[in-house]
Amino acid sequence: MSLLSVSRNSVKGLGGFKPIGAHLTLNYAVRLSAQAGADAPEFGDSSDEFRQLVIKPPRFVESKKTKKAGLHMVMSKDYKRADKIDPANVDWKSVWPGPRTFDPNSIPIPVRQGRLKPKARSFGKHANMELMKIPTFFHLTPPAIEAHCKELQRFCTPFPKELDTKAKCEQHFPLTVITNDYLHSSPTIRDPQARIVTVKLKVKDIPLDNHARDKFMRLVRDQYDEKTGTLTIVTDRCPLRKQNYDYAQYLLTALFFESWKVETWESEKTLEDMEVYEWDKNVSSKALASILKWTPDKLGKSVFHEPLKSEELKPEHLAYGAAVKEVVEGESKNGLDQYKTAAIRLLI
Amino acid sequence: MSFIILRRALQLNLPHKHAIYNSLRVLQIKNYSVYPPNYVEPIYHPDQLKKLSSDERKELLHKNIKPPLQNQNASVFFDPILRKFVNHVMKGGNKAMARQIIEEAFEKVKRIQIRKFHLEKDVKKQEVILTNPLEIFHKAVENCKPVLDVTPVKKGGVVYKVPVAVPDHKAQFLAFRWLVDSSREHEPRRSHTGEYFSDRLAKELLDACDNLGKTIKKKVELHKLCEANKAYAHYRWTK
Amino acid sequence: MALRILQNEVLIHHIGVVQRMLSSAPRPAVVTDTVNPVNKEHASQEKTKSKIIKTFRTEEIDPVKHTENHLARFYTMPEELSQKLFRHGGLTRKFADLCQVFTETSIMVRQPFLEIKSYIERINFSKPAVRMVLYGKPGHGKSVTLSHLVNYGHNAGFLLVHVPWVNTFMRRCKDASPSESKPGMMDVPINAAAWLVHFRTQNQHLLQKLNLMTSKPYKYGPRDSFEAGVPITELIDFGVGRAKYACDLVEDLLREIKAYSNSGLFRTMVVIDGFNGLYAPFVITERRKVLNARCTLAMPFLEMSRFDWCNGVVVVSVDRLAHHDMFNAESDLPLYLLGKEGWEHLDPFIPIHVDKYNAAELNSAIEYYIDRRWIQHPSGKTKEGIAELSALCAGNGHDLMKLCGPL
Repeated sequence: MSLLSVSRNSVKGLGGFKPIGAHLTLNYAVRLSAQAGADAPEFGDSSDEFRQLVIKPPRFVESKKTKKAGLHMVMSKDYKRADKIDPANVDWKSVWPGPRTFDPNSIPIPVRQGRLKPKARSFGKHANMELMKIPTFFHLTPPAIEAHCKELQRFCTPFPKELDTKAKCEQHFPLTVITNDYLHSSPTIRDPQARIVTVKLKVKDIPLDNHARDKFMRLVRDQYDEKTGTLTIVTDRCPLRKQNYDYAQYLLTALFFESWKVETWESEKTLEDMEVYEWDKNVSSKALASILKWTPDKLGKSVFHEPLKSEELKPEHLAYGAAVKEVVEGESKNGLDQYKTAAIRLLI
Repeated sequence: MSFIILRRALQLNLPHKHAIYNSLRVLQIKNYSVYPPNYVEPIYHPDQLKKLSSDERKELLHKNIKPPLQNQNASVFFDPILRKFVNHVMKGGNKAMARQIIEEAFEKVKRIQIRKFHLEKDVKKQEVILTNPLEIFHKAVENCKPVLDVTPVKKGGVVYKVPVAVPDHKAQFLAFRWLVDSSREHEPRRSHTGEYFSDRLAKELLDACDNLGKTIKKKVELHKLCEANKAYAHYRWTK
Repeated sequence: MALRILQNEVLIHHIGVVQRMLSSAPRPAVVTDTVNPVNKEHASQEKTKSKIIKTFRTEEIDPVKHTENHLARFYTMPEELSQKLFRHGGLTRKFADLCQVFTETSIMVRQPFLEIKSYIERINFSKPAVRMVLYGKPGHGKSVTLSHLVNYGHNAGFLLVHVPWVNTFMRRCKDASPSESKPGMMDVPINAAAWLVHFRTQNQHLLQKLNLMTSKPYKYGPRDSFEAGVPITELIDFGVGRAKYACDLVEDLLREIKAYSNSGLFRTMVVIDGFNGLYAPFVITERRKVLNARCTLAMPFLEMSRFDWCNGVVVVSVDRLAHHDMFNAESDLPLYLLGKEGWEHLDPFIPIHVDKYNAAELNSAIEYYIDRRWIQHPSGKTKEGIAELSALCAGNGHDLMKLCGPL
């Protein structure tokens, strides 16, 4: 008996929520009472409602609850702020004063980024990760730069009026020194890139003869740009700009004096060691001299004369020399045609 | 040879094994058998095209056509009989070499005949001299074609050689074979005489053109055999 | 009837001329040596027939008189002359075969020949010998141009020093033995003797007329020596008979000729085909290859091509096929083929480019082949056939000849 009452109470206490375990207990109790048999009316007194026999209890169904949207999905409250901006009259510098990640709410124009599949809708500016990844330059609009420059103008001196052409600049200031200054809003005011010094110079401004020039070119190698004729020296070895500048000056001086030096072994250089064909030193010019000076009594004398002196050289001889040089340095049909015209002028 | 190399390659575990196997299958397939029977033979020469009627052309428009063979081309100098002859001269699949040899032979024929032509001062006699090597070749093949051939027929345990008429394509085949065989006789002779196959082929063509020479002799011998076995001729149709 | 035939022929001739005018290369239409059609009524049938000149031929057989009017036309050498000049070489082997078949030696008058001729006519012969170098792709006609030039030299009264093809003794010499007079070099006695025969045949008339004598004594062996004042023909005969000394003899002979030429007795034309072959660093006989040895026979020809003498003209050709490494030769230009040594030897010279056939020359060559029955195929005479041949040979004369071989 006591067992029965306990079970009933426990069921009631749970209200509408009926765990399976409780049902099982109830069933067990019902079956026990049926076995007891004799005192059934006693059972009915305990409750007014119609008691039902539950053979297969209803399944527990979880109530469907709508999930609350995560924070990341929520549109910021001022997402319509951009609509209120009037692009024509806004002071853009104040809207976007410095470098910043893309903010769709501050940009009053439809921007989009991302590859589209055919027939797909374009990605809007809102919640577009691609737009946030890329750097923006909205703070560098022409009016903003102009305003910056106006502020900086106070610290500058006027450009000399006499240097009105580029040629004059180059003539009076052949040496160009390029350095960079950096300004940071960080705890340190130093930037490692500020130490680099670049020195630029036109090689034609350096007094060099053929030999020195040849040597100079060998020493500077790829620091020399053939197209512009400029030598560029970049020094960044030392920690300070002053030191790097001095080092560049030293390099230039050393290059200049080293190119003018003639070593003893340089006299041993033969024609085969020459990198460029010099017609007046080669057999060709001697042969020309021999032909011009030859007379019939010199039969069988194939000893080549010394080349003609520079005052004896006529324009056709020089043209011939140039043609030979062109053929020897890279033989082609055009070069041979030139050579032919030059040779015909000489021989016939 | 490439076949063997491919077989070897298949035994190894190569990344492109299947590709190689497929190419091997292509090699195994005979020339034209890749094309289903509804494909028609190609018309590769402009002359053939000119001969077609407009109806035939219309019909061809909607048909699948096989590609031309490697040695069929639209050159004005193309000759179908000569194309066939190249295959008979060819050894080991080297068709380019065979063509070159035949061209050499033609050149030699021409050299002999043209010299003869220019040395002959009499205009009437000049006209008789054949100088076109292709014409000489055609005439030689025509002269070498047998009319009758013998075929073995078994009768009462005895095999009789029965004379039969030769169809044109077989006659041409025999002519080609005889021409090549008689030029190839005693082939390694070159080291002794300095005479190449092309020299002998040229000579043979010229001889055959005049109904002379070894090839014609072979034809005549066959004809003689047919003549001798004339009595068995009825075995061709009696059982 | 005869009149109609004649008119027909003349008409055909004029059509040919008009066609040529329409073709790309400029070419004078009227040629002086064609038949004059005014007298046709009086001319008998045979005479008119023989007189009709085909448009691709010219009757001017003397190369001295060849001018721009004869461009792209064939002239036929007299049989005796071609026998005299080219009996022992001088025409390329294939061209000689063709001439034998055609029973005539016909050469097309081309621009490079006229160019050389104009230079020779303008040369001041009291100045050092002028050198000219022909260059161009194989098959474009360098050797044939030189053969034409040899004929010109003969007719213009030059003494000819003609080397038909250098590699006959540099690469395919009959026999080579170490030289006795020049240690470290190789003699090619048989080829040297053969060249002497060639020289003797080509210059028969001049040698007889000039009756040259040796200027100093020569000693070849203990019993074979010559006093000064011996006829040069005797020297040559000795060289032909005693091939052992032929190489040394060629050198002495050419020195004598140089000296005589320098003194102004006659003018000499040196023609060397495949000149760059002379710079090969080896000698190849039929049996072996002698490395690092120069050929003694090459030396006198190199000496002849120097500029240290006058009354002479030197025309040589450089050819990829004469290059000592011909299968790997990359260029047809003279500096590449001659090498540094050869270039410095010849410099300054006049380079002359032998180009492929132009349209007029190609047409003329095909017409000539049709006339000589080298093109037999009926399709070869049609417009399509000619177009096909022209496209296939791409203006290369040698290729055209080969292409027409089996036709």
